Amino acid sequence: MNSVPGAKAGYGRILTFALDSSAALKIPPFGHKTAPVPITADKQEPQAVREGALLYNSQCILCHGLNAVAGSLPDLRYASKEVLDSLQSIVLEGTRAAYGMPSFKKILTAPDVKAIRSYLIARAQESAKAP
Amino acid sequence: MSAAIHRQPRTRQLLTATVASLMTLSVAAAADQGWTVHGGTHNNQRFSPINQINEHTISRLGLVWSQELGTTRGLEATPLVEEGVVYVTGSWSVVFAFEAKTGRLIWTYDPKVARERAYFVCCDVVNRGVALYKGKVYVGTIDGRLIALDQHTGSPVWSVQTTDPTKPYSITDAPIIANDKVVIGNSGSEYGVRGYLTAYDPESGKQLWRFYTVPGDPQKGFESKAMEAAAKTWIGKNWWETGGGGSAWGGMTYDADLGLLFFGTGNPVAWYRALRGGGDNLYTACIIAVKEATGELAWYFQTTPSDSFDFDATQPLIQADLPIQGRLRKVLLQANKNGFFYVLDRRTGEFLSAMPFVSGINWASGIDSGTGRPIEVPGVADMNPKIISPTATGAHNWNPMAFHPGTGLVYVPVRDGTLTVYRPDRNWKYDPNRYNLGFDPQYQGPYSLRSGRFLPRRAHSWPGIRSFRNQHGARTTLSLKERVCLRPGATSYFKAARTACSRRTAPQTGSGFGNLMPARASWHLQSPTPWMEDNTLRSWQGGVASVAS
Repeated sequence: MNSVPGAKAGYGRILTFALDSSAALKIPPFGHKTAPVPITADKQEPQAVREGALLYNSQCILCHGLNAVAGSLPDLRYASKEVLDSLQSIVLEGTRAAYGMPSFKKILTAPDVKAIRSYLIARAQESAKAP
Repeated sequence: MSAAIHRQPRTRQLLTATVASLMTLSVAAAADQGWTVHGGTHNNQRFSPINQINEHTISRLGLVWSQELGTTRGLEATPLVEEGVVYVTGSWSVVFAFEAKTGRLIWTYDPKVARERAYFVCCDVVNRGVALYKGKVYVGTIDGRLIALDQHTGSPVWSVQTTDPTKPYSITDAPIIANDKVVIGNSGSEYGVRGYLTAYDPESGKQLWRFYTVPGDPQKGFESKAMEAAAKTWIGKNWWETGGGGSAWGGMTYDADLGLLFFGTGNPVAWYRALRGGGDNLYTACIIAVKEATGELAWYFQTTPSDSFDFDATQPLIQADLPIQGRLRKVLLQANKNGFFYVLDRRTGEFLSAMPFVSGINWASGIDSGTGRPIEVPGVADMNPKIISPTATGAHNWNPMAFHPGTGLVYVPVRDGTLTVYRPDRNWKYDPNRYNLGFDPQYQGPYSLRSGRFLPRRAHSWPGIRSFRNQHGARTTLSLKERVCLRPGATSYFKAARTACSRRTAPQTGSGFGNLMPARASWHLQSPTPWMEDNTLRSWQGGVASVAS
């Protein structure tokens, strides 16, 4: 059977049913199975985390989810060191625009992005501790 | 349905559905006659006469095939089926044609929408499906194009830009065919656009007419008498600079006998009346009929005048002929975001009735039986923070509903007991680079953006927040016990609803924008359609998930 070219595992699929049919639904593994591993154990500056929380929950929430718990888009608690270290260029310069992450240069500043970074690290640390 | 013995038809009937992880279940039943228009039939009733799959045989239903659509983003399409081929759209307005019996991919077409357009889409890069007509497949794209494809090959035949690409317009709705015209609307009210609907020649893509839903700058002159009349309902300095909103992003259905095309419009900009300066803001949050021949306004009925809560009237509109007070009336049916179920005369727009279809409505005590205007609770639209039910995403949204001509019942996927903490920002100014709701980001009430937490007090006792009594006289409240819980890593709201929240993981929700749903109500998607989970077909009835096989 032809499949959709380049179709990676995700949540989105089309299903067809009929009586007395019994094809197995093979769902490719997808999503995070373990708690996030923070890129650092260093405690983030509380004021920056608070500012980052406000900025995140007003600017990033629509796609990346409330409190950085994503639904369908990347869960930023799991962001790699590489991503967090290039957060300024990703958010302000739009270096990942081709994937749907636009530039927020008209809305956010470099100190804003720094605060969001602290917030994301703090969220990863919190979630790593959760049972 | 009766318990009559169902004769085994010669051909096997197929049930095709697109499934995104959480909330999408759009079903097309395929038989010899196919499912060739979005609403199943031209009256949008989504009633299928095929009956091989029924309450007696549902336990024998099993999977024939499935195909990954390669996305983690939203799917909202109703698959169409014609001559054994399934036509469906995925995320980013991509179109697929599959062989219905086997699932073989026949062709796919990717309009290659620039991915940064996602910035101007409120509710994901979704698409609700295609229209089929005379050998072509029509699709609207997230960047505002309308594209005609060859039905057999998927090759583009023509493409028109239906919107100004410098403005934050998008298209998520499926086009509709109305008497040799292909008609498409657009989305983007939250960002600041002026809504409209456009009809094109299906052969050439030539524009035939355009109907604006809100007036533009009066100094540039009005396109029609309807716009001139609407402008009188807009108050406030330079109200046209926000675009006005009223985007036409859903509900389209066409009555060939009357020559009328019906559709709904979205919210005005900003969300809050007090920030816009008042007025009814025609024709936002409205059900509208335009003449298919000319695109002129035939009638309108505004479900939520001077809306403050994002109560778009874009939900599906069903055409039915119902006996009402001894007369057979041609009616339109809509389960509106605002929590009331409307019945209108579709020839004239005359208001016939409106009844609540969810519990907990607290913004209006009812609908005036004479005028059809909501009876607002005093103070509900002022500038104070407040808890309002239903939530901004509605008691019912774009999700299809169906009408059974035999039982006379309408089947609606309802979200019951939802609420939003509204927090108007007194300092809001229109900014074309932002989402223009007018929410106060500094708000520190029971749900705070700053902390991202539900604060541990009963919301109605929070200083400064107003709560209102719902239609049963109870206060609409938010308490710690009632918040939504989602265990990190849980893949669906259904799972989340069954997962006890531990103290440490409780204050985390997967998505939402101040849309708070009590855990007991837990995304009450009382969808009449089943979904797949753990290799098992399940259905959701009366708030209880049941396993079909």
